[in-house]
Amino acid sequence: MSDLRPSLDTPEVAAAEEVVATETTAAVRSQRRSPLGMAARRFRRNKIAVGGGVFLLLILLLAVFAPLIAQQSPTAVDLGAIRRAPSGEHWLGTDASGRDVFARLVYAARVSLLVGIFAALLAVLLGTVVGAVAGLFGGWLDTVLMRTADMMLSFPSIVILIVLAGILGPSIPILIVSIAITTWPTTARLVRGVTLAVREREYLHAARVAGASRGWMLRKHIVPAAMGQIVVVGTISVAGAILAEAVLSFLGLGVQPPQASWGNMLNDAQSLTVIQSMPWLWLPPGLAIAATVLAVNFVGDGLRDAVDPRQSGRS
Amino acid sequence: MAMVLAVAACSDPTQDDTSGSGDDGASSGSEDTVLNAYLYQPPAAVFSPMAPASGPDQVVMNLIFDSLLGVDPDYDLYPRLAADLPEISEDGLTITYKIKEGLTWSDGEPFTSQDVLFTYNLMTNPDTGSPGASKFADVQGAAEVAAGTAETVSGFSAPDDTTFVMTLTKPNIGIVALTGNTMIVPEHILADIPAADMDTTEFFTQSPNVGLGPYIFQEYKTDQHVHLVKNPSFREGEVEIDEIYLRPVTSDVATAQLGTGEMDLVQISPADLETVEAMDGIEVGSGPGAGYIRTSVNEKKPYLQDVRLRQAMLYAVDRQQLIDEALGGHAQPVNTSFMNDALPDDLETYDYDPDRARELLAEMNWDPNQVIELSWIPGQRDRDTAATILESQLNEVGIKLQLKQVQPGELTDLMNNQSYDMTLYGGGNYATDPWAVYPINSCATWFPNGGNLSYWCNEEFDQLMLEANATVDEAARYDLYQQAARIENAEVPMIYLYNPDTIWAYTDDIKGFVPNGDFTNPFWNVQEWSLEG
Repeated sequence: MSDLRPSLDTPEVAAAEEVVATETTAAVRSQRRSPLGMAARRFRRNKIAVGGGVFLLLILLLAVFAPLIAQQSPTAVDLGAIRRAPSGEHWLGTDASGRDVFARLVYAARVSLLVGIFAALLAVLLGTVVGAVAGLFGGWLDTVLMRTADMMLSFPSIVILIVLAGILGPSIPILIVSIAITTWPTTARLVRGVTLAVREREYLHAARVAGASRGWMLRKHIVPAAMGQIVVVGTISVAGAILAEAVLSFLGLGVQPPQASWGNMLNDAQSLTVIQSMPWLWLPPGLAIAATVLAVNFVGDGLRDAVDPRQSGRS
Repeated sequence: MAMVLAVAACSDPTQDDTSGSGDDGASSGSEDTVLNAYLYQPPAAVFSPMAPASGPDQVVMNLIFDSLLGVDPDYDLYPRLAADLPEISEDGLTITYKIKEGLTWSDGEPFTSQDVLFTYNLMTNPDTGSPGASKFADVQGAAEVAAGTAETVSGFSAPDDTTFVMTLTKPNIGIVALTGNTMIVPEHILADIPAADMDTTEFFTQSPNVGLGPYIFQEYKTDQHVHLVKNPSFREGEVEIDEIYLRPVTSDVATAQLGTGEMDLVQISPADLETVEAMDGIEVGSGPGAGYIRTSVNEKKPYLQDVRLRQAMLYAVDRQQLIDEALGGHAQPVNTSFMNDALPDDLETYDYDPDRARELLAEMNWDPNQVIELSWIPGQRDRDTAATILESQLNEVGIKLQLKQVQPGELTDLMNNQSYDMTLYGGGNYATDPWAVYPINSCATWFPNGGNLSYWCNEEFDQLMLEANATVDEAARYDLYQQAARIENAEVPMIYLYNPDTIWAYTDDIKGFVPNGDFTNPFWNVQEWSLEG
C-alpha cells in the first residue's frame, strides 16, 4: 500500500494539469484522437498489463460462477477424507476437516475480490470527497482535513486494522470499512493536488464569475479532471486491500470460519505436518494471493502509463 | 489480538538467552538451565485458587503453589504437602490431614496448618468469588459462611501446626479428591485483604511471588510468556532446572518451535504425531485424559432447553469418525462424564445417525432459522477442527450453528453474563473420584457457584449423586453413581465430543519427564527433571 505514496504526491500536480488539458478537449470526440481512446491504445500495447487484466477477469469469472465451477461445497466436511492429496475427486485435495480445497479456493476468490473492490471503492470515494473539499475550500478546513490525512498516513496501517478488528469484532463489512479508513488519505492528497491546480485555471475563474456553486464545480470540473489518476490509485488500492484482507484473515481477525478466504486457508495450514508434507493446503491460496495482487498491480501500472505517458518507466 | 501477539512471540527477544535448547551446546556449566514450555492458551492472569477454573492459569499455579494432595498420571491421589493421605474417621465425618514438618514459604516464612486453615476458609467463602465454595457445602458451618452469618467455617480447625481437620455434617466420600488439590495460599501475605477484594488483589493478578511450589513467579508478560525461577525452599529441595518460560502460542507454532529448539516441551496434536516422531532428538509420550472435550449448552436460553435438541446434536455429529480420522484414533468416545467403575456399560452411545437427529428436531418443531453461536478460544488444532466439524454437521441436519472465536477475557465475560449459547472447552478430572461430576452438573453448582456451564438441573440426578457420595460401601456407592450416569447420558447436559489422549513431545535433553494425561499438570514431578545441553 505504502509504496505508491511518493509517486502520487504533489509532483503529480503537473501531470494532473496535463490530464485536465486533454480531458477538456475531449468534447470534440474525434474517433482516433480522443484521450480515452489514446489511453486505451497505450494500455493495450502494454502486454504485462493486459496479461494482468486477463488474469483478473478469469479470477472474477471464477468468483462469480463459483457454484458452477466448484462441484463441492466449500464448507461440507467429509470425515472419511481428511487431508487427502489431490485426486480426480478433489482436484486440490482436502483440508484438516475433509473440505475440498479447490472449492474453498474458488469461493475464497469471492471474498478477496469483494473486500478488495469495495474497500478500494470506499477509500477512493472518501478520499475524493475529502481531497476535493479540502482543495476547493482551503483555509482551516483544508488544514484540518489534510492534517488528519497525514496523521492516518503516519500510523502503520496494520496496527490500526488489528485494533479495529479487535474492538469491533471480525466480519467482512468491518474489514471493508477498516481497510478503507486506512487507505483514503492517499486518494485525498492526490485529489487535493489536482483541485489546487484546476482551481486557478481560467475556465474555473469564468465559472465562478458566472455564479457556479462549489458543488457544481466539483462535479463538473474537478472530479472529471482527477478521474484518470483516481482510477489508477483505486486499482492499486484494490491490491493493497486484498493483501490486507489476507493478512487479517491469516491472523484470525478477518473472515471468520467456516467461510473460506485465502488468508484463513493459510492460517489453517500452519501446522508443521502440513507445511512439510501437504503442499496442496498452502500452495494454492498462497499462489492465488500473490498472483492476484501482482495482476492488480500490473493493471494499475498499465493504467498509470496509459493515463499519463510521461510517467512510464518511473515507477 | 492475543493470537497476533502469540505469533509475534516466535521472535521473542527473551529466547536469546536460553541455554537449555541445546544448539549452543558448549555453554559453560555455570549457566542457568532454562526450559521453554508450551502454554496451550494465554492465561486469564488471575493466579488464584478462588478464580473461575482456567486451564492455563492452573498450569502456572501447579508450579508456583502446592496442595495437600496431588493426582498422579494414574489419577490416584498422593500426598504433597500432607505427610500422608488423610485419615477418615469410621463414621466418615472427620477428615484429618497431617502436614509435613519444617516447610517454609518461598520468602522464608514458616508454613503451618494455619495457612491451610486460612486457604480453606477463603475457598468456602462465596465473597471471594470462589466457584469452589459448593465443594465444601457439607463441612460443618460452611452454610453459615455461605449465608454470611459467620466469618469462618467452624468445621475447619488446626489443633496444632501440623494438623488440619475437616468436620462434616454428613459423610462425603468425594470431598477428599475434590478439595485435597486446593492450592494453599500464604496467610502472612493475604491476611489483611478483605474477602471481597480477593479476586482483584495484586498478589493474585500481578505477582503471586510467594508460594510453596517448586518455582517462584517472576512475571507474566501479557500474551508472551510466564517466567518462573526455582524456589530454593521447595519441600523436596531445590529443583534442577533453574528457570521455566511458559509461552502461550498456537499448537502449530509450538510444534514448529520444537523442531527449531526454541521450545523444549509441547503438547502436540495427534495430526502432527508422525512429523514430530520423525524429528531428531525429540521424544513423544502420552497419557490418557481424565476429562474430555465438550460443549456446554446454555439452558438459560429458551431455545436450548429441549432435551431432544441436545440428543439431536449428538446424533448429528459423527464423533467416532472425528476420533478415527481427525484425531488419528488418539482419543476415546464419551457419552457421559463418568469414567472407570462409575461408567455403566448399557449407555446410549448416540452413534452417528443424522436421520434420527432430523426426526428429533421435527418432533420438537425446531426452528431452522434459530441461530446458535458456538464460542471458543481458538489456537488448538484439534479443538478448531472439532468446531469446524460441529458447524458443518449440525447445519446439515438443520441446526444453524455459527462459529465465534473469542479471546480468554471475552469468554469470561460471556460466562459471567450467561450470554453464550454454546462454548467449546475441555479438561477436568473425573477419573480420580466420580464426585467430581457433581460440580459440573448439579442444580446447586450453576456457574459462578460451580462449574455447571449448561445450567442443567435434574433433581433425581442430584439426589443420586449426594446419596452416592455419602455411601461408605464402595460397591453400593458405584452402583448409585452408575444410576446417575444413566440419567446424565439420557439428558445430555453437554455435547460430549471426545476424551483426547494428551500427547507430549519434548527434547531428549529433558530427563525424568513422565507424561501426564492431565494437560494442566505436565510438571507434576518437575523435581525429578533435569535438562542437559
